Amino acid sequence: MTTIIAQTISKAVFAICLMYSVNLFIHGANYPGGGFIGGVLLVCGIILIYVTFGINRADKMFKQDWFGWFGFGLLFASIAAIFPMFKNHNYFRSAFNVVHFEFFGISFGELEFASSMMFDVGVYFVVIGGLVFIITQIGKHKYSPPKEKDEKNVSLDRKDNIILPEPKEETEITDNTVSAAEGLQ
Amino acid sequence: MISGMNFWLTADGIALAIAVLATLLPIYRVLVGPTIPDRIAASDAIGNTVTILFVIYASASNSIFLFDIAVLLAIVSFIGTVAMAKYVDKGKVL
Repeated sequence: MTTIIAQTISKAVFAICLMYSVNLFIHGANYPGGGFIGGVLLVCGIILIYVTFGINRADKMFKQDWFGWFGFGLLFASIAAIFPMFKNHNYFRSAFNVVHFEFFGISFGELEFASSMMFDVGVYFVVIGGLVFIITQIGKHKYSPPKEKDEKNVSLDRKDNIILPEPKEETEITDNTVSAAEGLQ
Repeated sequence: MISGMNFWLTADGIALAIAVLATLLPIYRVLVGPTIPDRIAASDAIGNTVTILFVIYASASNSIFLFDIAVLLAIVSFIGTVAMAKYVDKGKVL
């Protein structure tokens, strides 16, 4: 739970991260970029939302099972890898085709579609699911203070009796923040 | 890109020298900063100046690929600053 300025800015930055990660993903075949770095950039946007809104409200916003994304990406990459074996080709064999976009005699340029892009889609989902799952699980872990000792064994040394304060709980959601948070849903 | 000493006399060379100097100065504040917010602001300044340095180098070498690095570095630097600021304020990140 941070200020409303940080929440508003983080939503705009999340949109920029989403757009730019798709851009990196699409021209990743022949130029710098690809599934991994595009996924990492989108994870940066998602983690920014998690940091500014707190883990409880961000989970309610996204409503995603991130480990499911991990499994879906792994399944997709595996299918893309074994699919050429049904056509008597090698494992991981890929092909490409150049598509010209031309409508009404006007050329809109050309784009190269490679079948290895399906594997890249799998890598994209694996990176997003894996990294967000790891970071949210680390964030949910709370520090538990050591258990109180028996009264007989309490030492007189003051250092041993200090109990660290627990981190502050999330404050109650007020009306202003709820109306701001509903924009992303 | 002009090679040799002539490069440092062009506009790109002078801007690159100033950006390198502006990158090196906040390192002193990161190392000996008396408080944690000083170090956070200084590391944010380092991230921004390194972004500027990539843009100037892309202009000097006539390459568009370094702009990708500049945009990525700007976003990651911003997220790191936000996370550290929330850690100082609340005591936890997520």
